[in-house]
Amino acid sequence: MDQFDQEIKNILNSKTYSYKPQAWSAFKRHSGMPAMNIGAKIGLFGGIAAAIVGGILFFTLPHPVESITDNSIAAHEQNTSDPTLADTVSPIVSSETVATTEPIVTASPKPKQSYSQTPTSSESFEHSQASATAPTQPRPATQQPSHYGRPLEILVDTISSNDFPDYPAKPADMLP
Amino acid sequence: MNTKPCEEILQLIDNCKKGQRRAIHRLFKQYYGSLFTVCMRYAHCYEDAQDMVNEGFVKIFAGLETYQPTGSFEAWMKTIMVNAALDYLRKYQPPAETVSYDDVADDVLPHHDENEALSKLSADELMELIQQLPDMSRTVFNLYVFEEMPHAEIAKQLNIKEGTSHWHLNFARNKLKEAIKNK
Repeated sequence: MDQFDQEIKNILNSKTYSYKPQAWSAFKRHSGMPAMNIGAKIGLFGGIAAAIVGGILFFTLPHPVESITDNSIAAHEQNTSDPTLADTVSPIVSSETVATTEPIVTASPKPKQSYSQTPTSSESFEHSQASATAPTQPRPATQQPSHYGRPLEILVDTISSNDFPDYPAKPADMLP
Repeated sequence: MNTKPCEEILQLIDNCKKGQRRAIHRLFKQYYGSLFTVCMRYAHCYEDAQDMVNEGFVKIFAGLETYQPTGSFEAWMKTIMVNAALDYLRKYQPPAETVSYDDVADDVLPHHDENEALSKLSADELMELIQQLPDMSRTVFNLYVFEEMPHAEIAKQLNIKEGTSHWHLNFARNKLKEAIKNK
């Protein structure tokens, strides 16, 4: 290396280019480094995915309001207009009654009975009035009103008149 | 130049190895200037130098695991950057011509007042003159003058004959002297 080479080396070694923010952006593009950090990326794409799935479910699954058709309304009205149900069952199935009967049912469970309206044993009915309220024709199981998954007849069967000494009207009294 | 890196640099390297984005950015920012200067010498233009420096930094970050902290970190990075520049030139420049060593002697110009003229040039002007040299001559000149590589090694690196390396060095010198005089 002669003097000329050494001189060139000294001059260029003293030269240093300054860093520019664009250089980092260019490097990220060149290297394929993600523009955002991983956490932010997961959050963003996770949110978008959740929104898409939520939207699909919302539009594909039947909406509760849409499922009410004219037929279902008619069937509902027919059920509620049944005198047996309206007069005998509905007072018992009021929210107050259910609230008070719930602990009794769970505290002393009785053997599972047939859903038939005719009692199979005399023990099932502590009072004979309950049997008078039962309809003569058994209803299909799908039409039987239930509360918290229990057929109403079981509730009727398990509640004796002694459980509600102050109850204003006994079911039998409400029969026409 | 075989200085061990300080604790701060070692910690920075460790964090880069762990893939910490902030550490990678900091290391890039810290050494960008000096390594970009290396690439500017080998490149034909600013854009090529940018591509070279980016490619070099990708190789540096990929090879951090292999770095032994017994030697200078900056020298290690510079070696990688020079190799990245050579790879870039190999990829984009046409195959080198073969020149016999006998042809070289006649091309050497005598030394005159070029050193005086050289001292009047700024670093930017000189960089521009070097960039105007033909690719192979510029590369040989850089490897010989700045990397202090012997002709045998240059010939091996560039896959040319040793005589060709001599010829390119003299050609580059003469071209530069001419250009400096004309400035």
